[in-house]
Amino acid sequence: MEQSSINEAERLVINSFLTPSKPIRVDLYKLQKDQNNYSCVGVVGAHIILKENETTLYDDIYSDSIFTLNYFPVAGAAYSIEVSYEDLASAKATTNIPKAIRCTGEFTYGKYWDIRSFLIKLNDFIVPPDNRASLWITAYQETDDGETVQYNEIYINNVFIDKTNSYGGMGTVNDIAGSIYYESFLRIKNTNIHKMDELIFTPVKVCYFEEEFLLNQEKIKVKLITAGPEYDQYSKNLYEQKNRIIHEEDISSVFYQPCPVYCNIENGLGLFAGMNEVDYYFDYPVKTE
Amino acid sequence: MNEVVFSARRKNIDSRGLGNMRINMEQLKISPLFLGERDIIKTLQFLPGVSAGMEGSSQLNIRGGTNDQTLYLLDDVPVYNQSHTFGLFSIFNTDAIKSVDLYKGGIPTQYGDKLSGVVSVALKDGDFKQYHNSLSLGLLAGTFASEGPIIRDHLSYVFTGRRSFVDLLYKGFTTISGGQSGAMIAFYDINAKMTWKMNSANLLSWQLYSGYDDIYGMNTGRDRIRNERYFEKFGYGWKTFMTALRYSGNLTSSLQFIANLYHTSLTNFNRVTGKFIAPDIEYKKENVESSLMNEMGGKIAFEQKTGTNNSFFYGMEGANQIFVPDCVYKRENSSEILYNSGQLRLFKLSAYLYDEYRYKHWFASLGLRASLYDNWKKKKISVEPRVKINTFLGEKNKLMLAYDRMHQPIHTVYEMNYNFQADYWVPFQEEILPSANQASVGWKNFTNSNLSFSIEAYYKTMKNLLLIKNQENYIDFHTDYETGKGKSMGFECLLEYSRERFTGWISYTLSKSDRRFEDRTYPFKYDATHSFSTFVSYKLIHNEKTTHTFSLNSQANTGYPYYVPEISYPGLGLPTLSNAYPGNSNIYSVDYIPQYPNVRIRNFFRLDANYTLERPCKKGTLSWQFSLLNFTNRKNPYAIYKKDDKYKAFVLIPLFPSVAVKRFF
Repeated sequence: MEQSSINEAERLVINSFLTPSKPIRVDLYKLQKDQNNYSCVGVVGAHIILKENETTLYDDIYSDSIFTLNYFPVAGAAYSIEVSYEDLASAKATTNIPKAIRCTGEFTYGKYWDIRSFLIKLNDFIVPPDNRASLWITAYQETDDGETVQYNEIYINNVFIDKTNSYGGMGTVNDIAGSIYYESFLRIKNTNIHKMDELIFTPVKVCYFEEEFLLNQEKIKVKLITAGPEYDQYSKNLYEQKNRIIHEEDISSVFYQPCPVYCNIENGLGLFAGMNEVDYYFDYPVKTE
Repeated sequence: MNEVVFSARRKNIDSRGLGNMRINMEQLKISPLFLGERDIIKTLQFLPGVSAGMEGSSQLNIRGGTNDQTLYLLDDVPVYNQSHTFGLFSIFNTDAIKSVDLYKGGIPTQYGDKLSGVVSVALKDGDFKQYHNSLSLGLLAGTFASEGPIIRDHLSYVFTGRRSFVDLLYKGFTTISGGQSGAMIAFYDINAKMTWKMNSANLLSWQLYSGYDDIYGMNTGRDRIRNERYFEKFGYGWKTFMTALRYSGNLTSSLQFIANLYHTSLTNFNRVTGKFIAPDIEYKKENVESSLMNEMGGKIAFEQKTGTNNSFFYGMEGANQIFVPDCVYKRENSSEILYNSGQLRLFKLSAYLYDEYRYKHWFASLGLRASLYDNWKKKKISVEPRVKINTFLGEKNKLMLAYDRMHQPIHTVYEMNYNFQADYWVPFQEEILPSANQASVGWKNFTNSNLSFSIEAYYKTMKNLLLIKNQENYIDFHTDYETGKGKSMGFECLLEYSRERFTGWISYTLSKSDRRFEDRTYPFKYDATHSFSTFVSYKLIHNEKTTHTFSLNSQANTGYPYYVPEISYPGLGLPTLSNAYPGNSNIYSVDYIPQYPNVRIRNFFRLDANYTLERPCKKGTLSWQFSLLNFTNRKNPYAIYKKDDKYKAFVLIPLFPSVAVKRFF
């Protein structure tokens, strides 16, 4: 670049995922400029106004950069936040907590040792009405003592899954799940949720490092994330941004394009987004011979 | 009786009127080479007021407009893609072309539906008397062309076929070697035209264009001991198709008409195919995600001479367009799924008329075009007045003035995309129909028969432009977009000189183009204050036995505005644990890219040198073309990105030699 006009204003960064399964937490930072360098530092002593359906939940100065409130967001409610700090412009955002999408689940397999025969079937989806949310699905290996490792390849043969994170596998995992896998998550956009009657997939964990092997797996956990529009756009954009990195100036560069990440903070940066999570557990096959 | 020979200066670019330039095949022979090929789009990119966009593209961004605001016509039929192989070549095969008209302003009323300009490519009719053939081989592709009579003096044909061959060589190599991985490009196109001369006044012709592009990665392997083989191919591509039936004739001595019926389409695809073969197993997979666009239409145009100084032009055209933005085909062995998310549609109907009137040294063209656009949810009517007035000041100076209003009912949906991306078209939504108004003036000087010099200035405003923030929501819910305005003004000069063995031209554009969205004004992505290009060609040896021509072409312009991640801030991660992404550990950091360009990239400069040898053979001619692309090895950025907290630039075209051979017979 021979000519540059980068001159970003100093402003607040607000980060929060609001979900009924966790108490409210908001991370606060300040983007500051020191000569030509920008950095983010935690903000202590900001004035925070947090409302639920116009009812004030908090209105005071907070003495930490990580704001926590022992209060669980409510599905279907609207939340707003306004943060003021020193002479920076007040940063504001609003979001809604979507009601959870639910389903029934079933786990089948062939031989207990044959992970390629594992099939998780989700069906009978219950989608709350007037819902602009999308559905994200992740799956995990879990032990009884809470150790968790995420499945990083989910094989599925279904036309309703967003192709953003899809890859062609080197072969078919099984006749039902096919040979196309999705990196770590499945995303079904809002308009496709209503068309979908069932999802059948095979989760696979590919270990890149030895320490990733999870011994004594007891459960498979499947998480359904009902993603409000803000959460959905942010996560999709961030995935795209992280995956469109040019591989050291090879020919893949011809596909590169700048990829901004969604932000809903007025006068600031970050995200204030509602979501809802439901977990489904399936017992891991036990050794039978 | 002695033969009388009239000689006229052969101009490279025929500046026909304000904002209108014509290049015919003879002129194209003396034009810049790119990878050993002469390409009509690459030649047009040398003209003032026309921006190529990023290096290597086949785009024409005219007077502050985007490439999707340029109407591309092939024998009067619209085509919705003009690129092969990231834009390294255009789809227009020079062996099939008769002439090309570029309109930047003063756009006749028979052209519409795009805001910024028109490129009208006329395909040639086959020779009704003699056969001509040619075979050429370049660095990436080979071309065959043939034309001649089917029924002498009545029915003729033209056929051209072009295909990349690097991919074929690579495929052969992988087959022999037993397994490889790699990336490859492949393309082909065919042009065919048959013309029936019914009588001296009536012609019926059928034309076809079919093009295919595939940019893919491939994995192949073989285990000879276990007798297993696998093959996998994944990548992007697109298919461009056009076919038309055209009739032109004279109804009376003063009334001519042209009618055509056509079908044109564009398909973009993202495909994974694979095959695994073992003694007891054979497994096949195919996963294709595509977007389609189909258009069926017809036109009828009349030209009526109502006096020696007056001609009246009028006509109608209509088309039905169907868009399928999201189509999925999956096959796993014998199990198949085909799904599409629905169609978008557009019906358009236009009528136009204009009158060309000459009085002494004055020429005036007044016209009106009216269109109905129906996207099956909303109907919009547009009325477009067009005016052109020319006058001579003395015998050697011509003054020109034009006003154009244009509307555009379909558009592509990429805003930040600078580099390769297949065009993805959708019709206008809601009430938002982009429009443009342009006023232009020009002066042309004819002082010297070897030299021509023209200056044009323009001022253009655009409104109802779209800034799409989320493509998916824009298509599904008609949300997540902003409407804004655009403004462009410029000053263009073109100087041409040719004398005996020397030919050259210099073009310069001084311009300023910006966009205004959400109360913020920022430079248009291809805004370049200064743009300068030159072409010089000299015949070093020119006699009956051989012709050696050396040429140099150069392009330079101010660096374009660009979007780079300027700051990073803490993020919330992805819906996953960080251990799911071994390659992307930094998912808790967001690179902030503003909605507006925040830097200008390095100024662009490229100098190419070409040497052509041509000699007659027993039958026909043989020519060799040697080129050195980017002679100075300047590192012009094609993409700028941030990696490991450092800005990096990807250079598409380094110093690059090429050779091409062509045999006419």
